[in-house]
Amino acid sequence: MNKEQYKNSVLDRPGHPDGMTVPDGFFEAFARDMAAKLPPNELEQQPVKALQPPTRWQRMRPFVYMAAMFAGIWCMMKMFSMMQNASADMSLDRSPVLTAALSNDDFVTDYVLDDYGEEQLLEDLYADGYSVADLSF
Amino acid sequence: MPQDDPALVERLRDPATCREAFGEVISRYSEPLYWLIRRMVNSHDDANDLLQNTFMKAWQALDNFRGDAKLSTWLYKIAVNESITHLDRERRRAGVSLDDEASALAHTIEADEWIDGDALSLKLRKAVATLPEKQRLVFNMKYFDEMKYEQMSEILGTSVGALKASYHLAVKKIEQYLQTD
Repeated sequence: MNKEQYKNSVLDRPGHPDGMTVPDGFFEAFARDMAAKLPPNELEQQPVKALQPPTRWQRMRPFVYMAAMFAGIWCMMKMFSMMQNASADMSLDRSPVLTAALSNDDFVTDYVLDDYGEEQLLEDLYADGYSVADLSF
Repeated sequence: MPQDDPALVERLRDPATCREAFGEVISRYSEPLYWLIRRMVNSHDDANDLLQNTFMKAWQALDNFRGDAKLSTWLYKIAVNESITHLDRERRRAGVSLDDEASALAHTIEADEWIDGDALSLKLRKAVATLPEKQRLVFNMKYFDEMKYEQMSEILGTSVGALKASYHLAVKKIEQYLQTD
């Protein structure tokens, strides 16, 4: 056997034996003796918490949370409803100032028709008998 | 290595059941932990004492075990620390340097009465004894215990890459020892 074969024969042995042994029944005896000589530890000395009956608040809590949730939803719906009414109150028919303004021809001419489009203007002029040639830009 | 049992961990954390559950832990983990320690210190008597210390420390610190780490990892960490502390203590007591430790360990191997191996096994143990402490630990965990690098990484707090390199180096050194000796 050369050195390379010898090296492989040591490291590649099945089960990787190292020749170490223990006395018969060592682990069983160890587990038994070790468990028997464990002193009391801190965790073990902690008082065991008895199961306490639930308090009144703990019993009521789910119902209180549910009631709060419904109250919140109701408030939200109420708020939407009020917002809807408020926007309805702002219609032209309900505002005396806007009604008066819109019935004034000057107001309509000055403000409402102020965005009269150029295309619309040309069409109206054409309809009134003007031609493009009459217009000077 | 035994698999972690969540129910066992739960019982360990309950003051009413922790003692009985810890008895199960001892039965389950005493063998793998013993071999890890024994391969580091070589002597059966020392391994026996260190295994007792390991379980005693785990038992006393059970209140601090929150279950964040695996139970097996936690126990292996304690066992590794116990082994390394013991080797340091022995080195200081005997006034042996790290370089001379291999010959001191070789002497322990030959003096150990709980051995039943052939010449090849003895040669391998002597070769392993020549490795530096951390490398020996890595080699033992990988070669003998066939532990995964990921778990070794959790126990030793070293990256997987570094562990692979360390194991590779350890195998090379052992091969060299076997070829030359």
